[in-house]
Amino acid sequence: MLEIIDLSKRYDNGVLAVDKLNLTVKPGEVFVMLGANGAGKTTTMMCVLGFTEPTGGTAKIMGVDATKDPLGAKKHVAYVSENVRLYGNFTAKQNLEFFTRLAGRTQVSSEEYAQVLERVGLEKEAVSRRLKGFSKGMRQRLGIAIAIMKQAEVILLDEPTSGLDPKGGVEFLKLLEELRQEGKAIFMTSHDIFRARQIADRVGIMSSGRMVHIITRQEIDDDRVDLSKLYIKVIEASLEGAGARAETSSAS
Amino acid sequence: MFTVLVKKEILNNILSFRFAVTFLLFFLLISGSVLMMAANHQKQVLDYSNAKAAYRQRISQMRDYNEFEIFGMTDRRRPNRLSIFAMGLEPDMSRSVTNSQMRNVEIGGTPYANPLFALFSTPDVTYIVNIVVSLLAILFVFDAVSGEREEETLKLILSNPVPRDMILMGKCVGSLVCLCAAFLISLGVGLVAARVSMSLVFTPGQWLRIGILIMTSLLYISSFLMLGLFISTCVRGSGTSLMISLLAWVVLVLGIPNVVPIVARQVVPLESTQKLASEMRAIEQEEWEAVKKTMRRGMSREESRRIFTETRRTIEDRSEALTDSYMNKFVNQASVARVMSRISPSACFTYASTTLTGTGVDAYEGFIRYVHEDFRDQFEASLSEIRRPSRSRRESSDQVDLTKLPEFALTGPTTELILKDSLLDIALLFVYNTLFFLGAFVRFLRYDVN
Amino acid sequence: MLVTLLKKEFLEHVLSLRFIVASVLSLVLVTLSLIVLRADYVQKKEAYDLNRESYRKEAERLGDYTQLQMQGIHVDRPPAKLQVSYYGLEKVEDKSTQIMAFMVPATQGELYKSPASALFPTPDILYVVATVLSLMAFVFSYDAVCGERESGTMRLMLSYSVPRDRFILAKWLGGYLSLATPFVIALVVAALIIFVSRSVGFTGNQWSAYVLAAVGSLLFIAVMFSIGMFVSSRCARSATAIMILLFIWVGMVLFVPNVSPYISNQVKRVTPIDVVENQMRQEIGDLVRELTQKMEQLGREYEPQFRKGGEAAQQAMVEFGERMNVIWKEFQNNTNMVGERNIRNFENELNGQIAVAKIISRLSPVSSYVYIATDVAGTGVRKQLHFMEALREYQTEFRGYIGRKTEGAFPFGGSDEEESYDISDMPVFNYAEEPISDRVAGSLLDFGLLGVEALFFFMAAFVSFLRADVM
Repeated sequence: MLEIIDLSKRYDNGVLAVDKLNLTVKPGEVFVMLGANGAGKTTTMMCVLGFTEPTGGTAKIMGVDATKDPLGAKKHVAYVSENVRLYGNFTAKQNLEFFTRLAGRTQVSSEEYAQVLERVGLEKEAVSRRLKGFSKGMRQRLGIAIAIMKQAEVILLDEPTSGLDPKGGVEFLKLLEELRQEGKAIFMTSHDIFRARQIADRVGIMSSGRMVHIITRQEIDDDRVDLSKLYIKVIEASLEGAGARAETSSAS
Repeated sequence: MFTVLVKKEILNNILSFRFAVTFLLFFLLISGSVLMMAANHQKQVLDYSNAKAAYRQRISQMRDYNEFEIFGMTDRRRPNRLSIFAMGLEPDMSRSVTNSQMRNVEIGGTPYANPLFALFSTPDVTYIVNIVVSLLAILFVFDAVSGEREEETLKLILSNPVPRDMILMGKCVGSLVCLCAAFLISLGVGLVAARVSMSLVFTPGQWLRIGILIMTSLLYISSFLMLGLFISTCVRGSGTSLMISLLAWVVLVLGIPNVVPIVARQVVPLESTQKLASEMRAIEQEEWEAVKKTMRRGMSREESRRIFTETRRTIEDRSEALTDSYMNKFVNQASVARVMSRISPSACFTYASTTLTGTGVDAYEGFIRYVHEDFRDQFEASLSEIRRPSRSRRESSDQVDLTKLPEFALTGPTTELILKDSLLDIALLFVYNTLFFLGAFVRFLRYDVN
Repeated sequence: MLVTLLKKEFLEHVLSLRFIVASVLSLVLVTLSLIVLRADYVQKKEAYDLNRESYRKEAERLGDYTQLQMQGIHVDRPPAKLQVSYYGLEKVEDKSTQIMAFMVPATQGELYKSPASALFPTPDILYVVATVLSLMAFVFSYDAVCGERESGTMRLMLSYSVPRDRFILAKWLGGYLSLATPFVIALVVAALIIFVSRSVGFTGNQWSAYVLAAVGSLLFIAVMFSIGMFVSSRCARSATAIMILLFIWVGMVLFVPNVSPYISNQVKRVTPIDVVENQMRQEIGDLVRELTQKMEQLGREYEPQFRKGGEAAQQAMVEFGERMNVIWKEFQNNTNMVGERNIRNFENELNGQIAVAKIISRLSPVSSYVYIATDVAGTGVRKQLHFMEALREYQTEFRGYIGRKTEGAFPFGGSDEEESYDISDMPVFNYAEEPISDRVAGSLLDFGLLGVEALFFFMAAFVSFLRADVM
């Protein structure tokens, strides 16, 4: 379970990136956070992971307060970054082994490694090839394999589908569904309304640091909410808002 | 089209952090070096003037022939102003030279007595160009081609009707202009500052040589730019290109020029200098032994003087022959080293620059020969003129008038000779430029831009 | 956990191109330089031994002790064995020193240099470490922190429950080990080559020196590596980091140590050597004049007695001889003192300038390293001073010997009283190197300085990394 409680982050330059955000992601739930660039999605994730200090509020992972006990909290969360570059000179297996050991799992059999790699769809030959030759999709899958091996209850993904072709996207969603079935709490940031609509249990739309809408699976399925229209409206509003802000700041 | 490319290259370079660092380094190092070496030169000139004044004083004061016979007269070579740019063997040519009748020519200590001078290379301008500027040149262009490929801008350029050779030429010219401008500006500032603070002036002849030195430096810088470009077209990935470029630089600048000479010492071994001195002493001993046998009691002063002079002459001739054969081997060893090390443009540059400034092995050889042959011969020839026989029996010995004594007047090789000597090395630098450029050219025409 | 991180860091480096380049360079340059310098040492040693023989023969040919007194004996500086790896001041080819009864010895550089290498620095291990390996240290460390940041792996790593200090520690250790390992291997290979070369047999002392100088090398590399890590932790992009490090490298390796003697020459003047030489010549000239006067005076005093002939003349001869002896001994002592005073003054001034130059140069860790390596190896400034002292001691011994042998003999012209000439009991100059403990004690300052610098920059990188935003 991931709990974000009154989270705020104001940067040194005065910009309020996250504004009293409240959110809970339950086990077995996929929460997709949509929003324009600069809306605060990535900053939220950074705060949860302890990459930056929130200026207010906190985040709790499996009940562990991330601001008070960052190391304890990290035991329960797995992270898949946007640009999964990893270590180019290592093979896929070597990369996986390293991060698994980092997670504290030292007695892992080769079969388990092989299973996970197969599960994410990395072919046998790819396993012993240096990462330098991997395509974006292959790296992505490795990133997920790494997250799976951590056996954490909460998974955070930052723009995971950017740059994936339709096939890659479909395979990715399948994996995510499997993980949801296993009871993981999944929090994902994205621009991709299409995929969000397909996988999310709930979709949040963030704008200027605030969560302005939350739409449930039910509402999407029942067509009660047109996600695309709503999203575009929010974006436009934020543009106007940004324009207004720009005007006020240039006037002052 | 070409000007558009060149302008973009120049602008891109100037706005880069890389260039800022490069320019700052050039500025600090080159102008700093000029100022420091000029200050050092001024000090040497001051010491030289004092030594000369003392010399003149001694000449006018020394009257006693016996004393002159034993102690002789000590003179010095004027400090070489161009050594500011390339110190080379100047410290060894700045030593005092003592001629006396009793002994062979003696050389005094070097004015650079501090051993730290020997532990660290002199940071003169040619050293900075040789090592620092070449490194920066290579770092400037190692990703010129591979970097653009990675940034995907190369594809973009080639989606326009631009011939590939023009793109490469644009890169050459762009980087050349930037680096050379930085170099020339730094050097100019240094020279102006030295002129203003120390009144450092050069003769027209020296300016000519400085000009050629500058041109040679630019040629040298350019050769490393071409090398870097060539490596950039051979290797995929800027990271790899950087490594290969560094490797090439280490081998060409830090490796070959320093290893070859020691190998040359094995190929053309010179007998140790102490052995040479020892052999000279043996000659002296032999001759004096022989003289002892011919000396008789009650010989007139004139007679014994004659035998003395003759014996000294024989000793001189034999020593000269010994020195001559040694110097021939000396020159031989130097040539072998020079030829072998020419596979590195860095060595070519060192030889060319020290030849141009008159601080190289040739000038050094000239110095030694002058000291042992010409200067000595002049000294010997003047002996008859300076001696004034004692007028009365009361005076214990003859007198001397040292105003006729020849002063040290080594002018160094002529400009013509210098140009001839440095021609091959400069030409080689030109060849390296062409070679690397052609390499880059050929590779780039078929370069895979994906 | 540290072990996992360490293994990964080490492996990451080992699999990279830069490791191959560094290894090749280390191995090739170190062994090549060793082989080349060993041949040079052999050449020098042969020449040294031959010369020693010929100097001895020269002394034997002199025929009598008074000649020996006037001409003295020649000694050369024996080549230092450790020049095969740390050449240092062996580059300065000394004149053979003439040890005379009445002149304090002072060596000077020889005029006839080896022309081939006169214009180039010697490519010994010192050079390889100070220039090539220091550059490699920066190449290995410049993207340690900012590179991971750029490639996104930093965030991934920090999402694990591992405290930050482990990361930076592992980075330092892993990177340093991957750089030091090929170098140590090269040193071991070099040691093996020395071991099997009969021509360069190292004594226990010399092996200690080799090892200690190697420790100094490793410490120096650690300093450079720490500086690289520090810059890497402060920069956002690795391209920026490498440029800054290159700037630092050029300054530290190619400039600061090299300008220090020039600056010290301006700041702490030393009497020019030819002025000193002139001064000595003048003072000795005065002494010679004085001697001549006294001798002539004495001659005139005794002339009438010699003319008398017979017993009286014989008596006068003996007296004359004794008094001449006294004058002669006085002359010798005075010339010795003149030399002593002038040379000591000059040396004191020079030592002052050297001290200033060293202080200025220590701004760069390269200088400390050069001093450690050359002093421990016995090819540096310390050795120069020690050798000079040894020469002076020998000259005192020689004077004593000559004094005993020429008791009662005329300095000019032979005497019937003189013993037969046999120099088999003449003291021989055998230079013994300073004990290794003294050499190390002298380098403690520089060792300490390097240690502090390595620690300081590591701590700076540590703190910087701990506080940094991962964004």
